[in-house]
Amino acid sequence: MKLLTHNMLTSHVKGVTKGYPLLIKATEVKVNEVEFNSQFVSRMIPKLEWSALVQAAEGLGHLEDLPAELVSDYENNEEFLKKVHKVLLEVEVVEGSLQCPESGREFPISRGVPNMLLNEDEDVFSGAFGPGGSSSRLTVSPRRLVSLHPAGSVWRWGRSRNKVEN
Amino acid sequence: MAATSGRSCLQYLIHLAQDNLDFRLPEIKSLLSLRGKPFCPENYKEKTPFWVLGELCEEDVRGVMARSVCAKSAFELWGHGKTHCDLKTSLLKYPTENMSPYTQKDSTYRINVYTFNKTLEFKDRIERIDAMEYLAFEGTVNLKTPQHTFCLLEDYGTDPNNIPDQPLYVYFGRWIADGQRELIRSYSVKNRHFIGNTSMDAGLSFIMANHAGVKQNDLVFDPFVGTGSLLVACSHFGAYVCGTDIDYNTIHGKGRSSRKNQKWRGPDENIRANLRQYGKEKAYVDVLVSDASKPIWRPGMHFDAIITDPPYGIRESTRRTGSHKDVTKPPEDYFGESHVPVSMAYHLSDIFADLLTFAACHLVTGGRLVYWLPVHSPEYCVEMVPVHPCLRMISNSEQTLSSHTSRRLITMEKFKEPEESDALADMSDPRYSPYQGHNAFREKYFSGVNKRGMKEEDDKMNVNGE
Repeated sequence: MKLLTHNMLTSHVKGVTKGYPLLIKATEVKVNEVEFNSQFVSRMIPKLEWSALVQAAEGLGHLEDLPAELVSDYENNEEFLKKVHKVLLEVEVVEGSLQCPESGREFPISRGVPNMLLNEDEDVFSGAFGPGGSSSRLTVSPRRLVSLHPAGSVWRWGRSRNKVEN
Repeated sequence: MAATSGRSCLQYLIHLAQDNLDFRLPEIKSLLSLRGKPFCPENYKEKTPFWVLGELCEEDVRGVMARSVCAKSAFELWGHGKTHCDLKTSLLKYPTENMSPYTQKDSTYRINVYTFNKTLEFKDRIERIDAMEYLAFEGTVNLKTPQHTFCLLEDYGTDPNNIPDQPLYVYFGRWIADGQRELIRSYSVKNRHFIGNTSMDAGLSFIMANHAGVKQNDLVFDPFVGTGSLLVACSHFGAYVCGTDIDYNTIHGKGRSSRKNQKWRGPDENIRANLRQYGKEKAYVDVLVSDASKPIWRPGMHFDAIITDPPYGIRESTRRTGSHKDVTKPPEDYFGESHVPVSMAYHLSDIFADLLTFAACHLVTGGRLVYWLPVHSPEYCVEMVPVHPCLRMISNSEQTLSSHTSRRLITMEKFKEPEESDALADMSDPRYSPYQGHNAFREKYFSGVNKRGMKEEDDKMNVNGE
């Protein structure tokens, strides 16, 4: 997962009102070289939540001296754009998780891919809905979700589901 | 060039490939609008292979041809007519100053003869070229590396069972550029590193990217990414790409291979590797496992284009993912790997309603949503296409899949930010009621066809898609 993606993601756990930004808990971080494209970086900067980017980069130890406040006239500041480029597109979280700042729900990241799927009974955590209270359509069966995860035992939501069912 | 000043009101002839007829007009229009140019045809019939366009400059035509997979070649039109006689009259009227830069003594040239719906023998083609001696070509002929290429095009109509002796129409012009038909071969899914059963074929992927008006440095999103065929096409045009899919195994390239002689997917079968294969890894932003109906993007996050092939409930999985033991299934499960293993409870109409709402929230203003809508053709009417108060319909083109089913490529453009009232408006729109019937698309698809028939149709789909 690149920090550009992290900057765009929010928690969608039911009932959560402050799901942004997600906390990164990384166990493996990699820096992949990506061809620098000043125009793309310039285009992305106004779309970013700058403070979230700085916070995420700092957390991963790849701050690259990014200032806490976005500099003005960055379009012509190639040195600055290169730093942003590195943080946005080169730093990648390979293993770890993203944590919802409010509910504490963790979304695992494995082989660079965040898994944002929520369990049907996820709303147990928000406390706003009962176990049978989920009125939205189900997209995956809970059983399936558990089987989806490569290491089912790590998936602690599976356990809570059983509790609810039993 | 001295002649440039007088060359603004030139006409251009575009020769289009005679397949995917419905997709050609939206593609050319979309590519012209990327350059801020209007579509101004003359004596134009949509289903013919030759279109004459005005109000353009050569740079525009080159720009369109650098993107189009529907157009074969483009020419600066020097003359045209119903007969060779008319052509001669027309050519002799064409301003000499427009021709002279290309007919100089020290230049080299060649003349091609192209016939549509008829094959001419070599001697007939030479005859045609010789008959054009009234044109003042002073340069030398060079067949291999000419500086200028000219083309005589003869149109023998579109009915292969009724080919006239004489052409219905003839054109003569200076060749400017070829389209990108070559991409269909070079990006063929046959040679793609990572594919699935529903990978979109290269030609249609490029058409979708063109309908979406994908540009250099755009950020493009596919909520049903699958094996990323659409992202590959967008990255070719310089866009940065990201996508989500609900299928963990597809995203991680696990499970059963879609290739005939390969049982399991190999390591590194993923979308990133696909982009790498075409030298576009730099365009890879991220791919996530996620449910397209869930709001994982923060409000205010805007994509430049959303381009996707949602699951129709036809070829998606009936099997559970997980252990390999589960994957070995009886042959009736030939639909195999899925787009998205949504449960049956995620109705098609909900998928499209969610998709439109998502696009209204997460597209930049002026950004486009391009997606496929499967329809049961006997009962299709334009009212079945979902609408949204923030999205304007741009085009709606049909691809026939079988005698009773087809899918329509829908392009919509966002023209305003959604307001609170819009969220309710789209659900209460009367169009939504007939569209609910769409849930039954799967049943209709399989209605009245036996297994064998289904298989044939499935094969046909693949052929169409190739």
